[in-house]
Amino acid sequence: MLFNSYEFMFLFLPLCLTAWWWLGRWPSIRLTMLVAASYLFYGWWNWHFTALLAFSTLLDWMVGYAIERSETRGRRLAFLMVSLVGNLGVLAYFKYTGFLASAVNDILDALRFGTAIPVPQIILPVGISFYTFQTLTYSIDLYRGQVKSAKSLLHFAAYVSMFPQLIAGPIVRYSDVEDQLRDLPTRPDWNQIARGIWFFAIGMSQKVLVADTIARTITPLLESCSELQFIGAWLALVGYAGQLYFDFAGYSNMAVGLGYMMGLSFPQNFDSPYQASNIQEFWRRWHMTLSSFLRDYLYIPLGGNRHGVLLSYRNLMIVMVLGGIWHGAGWTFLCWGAFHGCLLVGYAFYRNRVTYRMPRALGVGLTFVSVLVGWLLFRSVDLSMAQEWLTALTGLRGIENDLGRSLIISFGGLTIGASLLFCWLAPNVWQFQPQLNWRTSVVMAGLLWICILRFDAESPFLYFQF
Amino acid sequence: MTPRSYCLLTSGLTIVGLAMVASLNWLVDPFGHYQTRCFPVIVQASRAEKLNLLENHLEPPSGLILGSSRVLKFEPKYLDEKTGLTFFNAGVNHGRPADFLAIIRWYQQRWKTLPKMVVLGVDSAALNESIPLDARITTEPRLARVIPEAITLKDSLAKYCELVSMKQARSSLTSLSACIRGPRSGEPTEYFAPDGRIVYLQREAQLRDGVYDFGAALRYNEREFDQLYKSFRQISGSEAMYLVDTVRLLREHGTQVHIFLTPFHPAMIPTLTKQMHFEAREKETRQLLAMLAMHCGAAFSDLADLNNFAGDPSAFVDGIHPLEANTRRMIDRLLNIKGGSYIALQ
Repeated sequence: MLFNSYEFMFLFLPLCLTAWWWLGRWPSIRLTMLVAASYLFYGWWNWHFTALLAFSTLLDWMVGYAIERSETRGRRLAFLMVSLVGNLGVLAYFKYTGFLASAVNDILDALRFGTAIPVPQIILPVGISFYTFQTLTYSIDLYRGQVKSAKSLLHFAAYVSMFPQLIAGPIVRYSDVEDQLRDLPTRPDWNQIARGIWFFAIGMSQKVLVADTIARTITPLLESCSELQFIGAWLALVGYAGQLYFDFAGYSNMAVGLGYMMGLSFPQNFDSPYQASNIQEFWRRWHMTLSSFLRDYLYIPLGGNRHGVLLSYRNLMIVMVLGGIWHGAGWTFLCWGAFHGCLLVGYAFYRNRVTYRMPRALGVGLTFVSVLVGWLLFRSVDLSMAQEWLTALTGLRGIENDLGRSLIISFGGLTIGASLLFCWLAPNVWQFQPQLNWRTSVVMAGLLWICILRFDAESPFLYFQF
Repeated sequence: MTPRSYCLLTSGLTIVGLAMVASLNWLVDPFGHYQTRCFPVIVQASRAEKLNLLENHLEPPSGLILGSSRVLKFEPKYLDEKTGLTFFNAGVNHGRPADFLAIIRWYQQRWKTLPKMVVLGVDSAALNESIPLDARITTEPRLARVIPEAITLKDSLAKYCELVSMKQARSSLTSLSACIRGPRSGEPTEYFAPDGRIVYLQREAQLRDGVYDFGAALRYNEREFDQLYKSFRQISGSEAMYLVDTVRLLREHGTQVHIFLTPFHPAMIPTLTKQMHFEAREKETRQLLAMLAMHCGAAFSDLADLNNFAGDPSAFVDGIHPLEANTRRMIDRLLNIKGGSYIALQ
């Protein structure tokens, strides 16, 4: 189910919120209702995959139970391995089998052995990358002794399946919501609900009014990528940067808003990333919960920067390549991850060896252009599309001949330009403290009203495909 | 303002705003979904109109023409002359295989028989997976009843959701402004004759007077089909199944079925071939129809290209709708008349 759909806005959300607060005095029934509603939310897309969600939940709950009761480090490690193999195995099967088979075929083909392995067509369950990571954090944190085990299977199932953040994050760790789930508010906190409405309305507008409007301009351009010329190619690239940000940040803000409406707090996922003055800062501001996951569960265990400069560079590369592949099974994602790895290594080298510090505005500009080049790889369906796009970006195919397209471009360019100025200059939704008066109420209602009217053009979130 | 009143005011204002739009859409009813009939609908309710016309027949027509708006100019009388049967043009706007199956089932339910011959025009765009079921099937109870497998709960609720959609709100305003600009009781611009074929009153008059702007009509189709093929990544499995079910049902009852791929005006082709999906989907549709015809014992003719039926580029009302001079040639090609006898194309 999409947040930007009639069934969610008119049926699911009102019923769910009403039941949630009405059942305030019965926490167990309340959590049962939340789990049931979340499974319905997930199963709306394809109910068969609710079994996968249940499997991941049961696996890590049992592993967590076993880890907490194990007395030796070896046994704890063995149980952790069960969780890692189980979760990553499921993820690998659904996400990477097809890619690996075609990669092997490519290699065999290059070595003139001919195509050997059939490439399976496996449907990728929506949100699998998010909830497998989430359940993994629970087992790892338990192994490290950083959290207590869940009070019950119901508590754990509620943590994993909570519908606001189930499909595209933020990646919530059990430690973030442990206390909240143990001590659920029984009466609505209207201040928090007002803040929830604010986050939800702004997030919805970011998605429906900005990201989808940009998509209408750039999607036709990218569908005929081989015909793109200089202006169109740059507009598509800058536009995609805006679309991706507003789409994903919009989803995260809606998730946070829904959490507030239910009396729960979720972590911030975006902090004006295009205002970053270097690539390291960018990753501290973009998809913050994934960045911190990669740092805490991959970079630091690999050794971080504790074993010298060269090893820290190696660790950065490993983390970013794996982060790239996490986004999608394809060479373009792998290259995107490697590209960001190189940028981070380059920045670390610059910071350690060069004393000159560039002006902030220059840093912001350079970082944005670097990120843009990365988005080219990220958005390209395959490497040949990336190559075609890059050719157009360099102006090798001319500036712009098609007058019709120029008109689309000039109109789309205004929208994209305005949205990017907003990214650079305006504070983000977390930095605002909305005034509770009739004026902001009218603005919020107006935004929700326009967004709901636009639900007729169904538009899934970009991060659902990861 | 207390946080509680802020939340209630925001929710209340949103609901009031949506209720106002819903009331406007319900009252104006631009797509004819709610039968309020206070203002003229801006789309033709061809499904309901065709069924009403068919219900006027005491005897069932022994031949049916099925398809989208692109077959609406097929003349039943011309087919009657060629086949000795009595034809009715049951083509509907945006006709897709779900419509064909529903109409055939409705016909069978009403007259306990099936026609002796069916001429079935298929557009490749009608098989676009990304296009949902036309709401005009779900809002026409006679059709909705006979094709329950096509109508999901979401489809049934779609017309109520559309009450708060931008698309319908825009159309309501268009309908309102048309009412303000012109008298409501004015002549309709097009209507269906008793035999089901369409009469383009306004456009045909303009054509006769030599004032018809063919270029504007063509550009409109180019934009429309550019969008249609842009989203056409694969053939809809369910629409393909409805097509198979339609032809199988007809053939099981001994009906002669002539399937053809509908033509485009040659001026549309350069625009369409620019679309990455157009040629691939046309080819797949052609293969699907040929296989279907082979397996079910129907006849298939590829009439997408004018050269295949000696078509006349000047006999089109726009980029996709052929006029009688072309539909007659298409019929001749379909029936492959030789010495006055009917020979099915195999």
